[in-house]
Amino acid sequence: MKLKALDFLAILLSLLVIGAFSISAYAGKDAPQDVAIEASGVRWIYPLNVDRQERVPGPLGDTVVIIKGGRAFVDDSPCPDKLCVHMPAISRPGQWIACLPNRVFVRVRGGSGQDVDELSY
Amino acid sequence: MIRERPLSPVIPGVYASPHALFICGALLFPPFLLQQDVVVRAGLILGFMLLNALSGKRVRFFQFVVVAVGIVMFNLLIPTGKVLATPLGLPLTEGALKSGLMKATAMTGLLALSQFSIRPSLRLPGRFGGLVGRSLFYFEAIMNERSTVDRKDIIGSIDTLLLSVGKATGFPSTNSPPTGSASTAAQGKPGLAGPAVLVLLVAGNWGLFAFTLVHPHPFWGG
Amino acid sequence: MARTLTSSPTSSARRLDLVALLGAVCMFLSAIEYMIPKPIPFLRVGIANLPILISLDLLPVPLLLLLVVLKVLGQGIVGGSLFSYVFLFSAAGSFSSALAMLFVRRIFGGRITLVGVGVIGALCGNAAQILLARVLIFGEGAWLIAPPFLALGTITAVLLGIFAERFAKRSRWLAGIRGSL
Repeated sequence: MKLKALDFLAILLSLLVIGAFSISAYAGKDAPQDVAIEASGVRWIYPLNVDRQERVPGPLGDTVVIIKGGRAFVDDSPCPDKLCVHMPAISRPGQWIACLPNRVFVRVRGGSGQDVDELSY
Repeated sequence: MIRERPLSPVIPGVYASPHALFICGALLFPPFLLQQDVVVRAGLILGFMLLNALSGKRVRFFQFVVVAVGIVMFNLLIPTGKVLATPLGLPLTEGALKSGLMKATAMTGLLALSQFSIRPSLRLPGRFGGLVGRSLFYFEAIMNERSTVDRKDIIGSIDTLLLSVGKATGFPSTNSPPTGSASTAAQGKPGLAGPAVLVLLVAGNWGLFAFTLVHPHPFWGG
Repeated sequence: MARTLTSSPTSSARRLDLVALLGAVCMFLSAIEYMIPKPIPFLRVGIANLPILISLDLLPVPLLLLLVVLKVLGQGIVGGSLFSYVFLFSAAGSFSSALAMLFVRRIFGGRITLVGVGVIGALCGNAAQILLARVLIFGEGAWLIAPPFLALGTITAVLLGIFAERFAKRSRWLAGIRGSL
């Protein structure tokens, strides 16, 4: 049987759609980014695109980390200087905020989930 | 005119009408879906599968497991929450695991429940139900002749099958559909045992659900 | 293809009966598909869509949609999945696919074959199912399986379209149906 031009157009359209889905799902920089929080030997990971508030336990008490509008920052912490609270919000892979007195470390991970190295205190 | 409906087996020796089973299933639906504890859900799913096996249906346990594992794995791909382990560089998180388990149990549990409560001899009411019944009737007629399909001449043999089924069933027909075939359902004595078992099932499930409202997570200890 | 549309009660009753039979063929084909062993239960070949493809030119829109309803309901009753997510997936996929195919067929008529129609139908139906999977079972991970799922759907749609075209041409049963409608 003979295929008509429109059939090939339909197939092409299909391939384009598949391509678009592939790019959005697999390409590194567009993949959803997340934040890794480490404290007290435990690690948490949360996506950046969902707003939430987490209390992270440390030797001095709980550090409050907030994710909002695609960025993460420290809202409150039981350390004396509150340097971590004044650090700007992070949103790009590799950026980090640390509360050294309370041993809390917040970092934006690279897209598809490959961590460069484990951090330990 | 009273139509004789073939009865379906519930547990060995006990029969109920497909209609009753349908209602039973519909009533078992909410307490399962609203159940928040994963362990309770898993238990309920095993229960449904047991019921399926008891009523004579082949339970494809392996398929259920594959589907459940697949769903959990897909959910684990997007990490959320406390990291529990990191095999091969992929962090497995508590939040993603819980979410995955809830979705996997929803999927498999509903399927198991559905398979128990929906029998092929179910007939829907009304004119539309009549149409569905007629369609199912044709389906059975086609299934009867399915061995004539030849892989080497698919189009031709399917064509022949359709012509033959048409002749056998008097298609196209403007008569009302015949009653559901007795060949696919076991003949059972209508009695009270069947509905009684179903009522017990529904009551038991709702009771369990009420209990878990008061004691959520009975196995996880909060 | 000349079609005399009589509106006598017997002929519309006969068309309803045709829809019932076509629905039964759908159920039969999905029973066959169910028996094909699949490594991953989520992959669908979609041979149950063949009667719908063939009926695009045969039935008026309301009856075609009725056929889809019968297909989905029939699969749900025979397969026992009426209360489960499987039913929702089947319904979403079948309806979006059928509507898309109707749309394409009505716009382009004979300038597109059932291959192209089927490809568009599969694209829409599978996309709808992926969306549903994203919400109900997979979460964000659903997008990861979208490309291979859609690709497989496109390939099977091409094959099904070729089969449907051949069947539509060669079937004596179909010729008889067209004549009596």
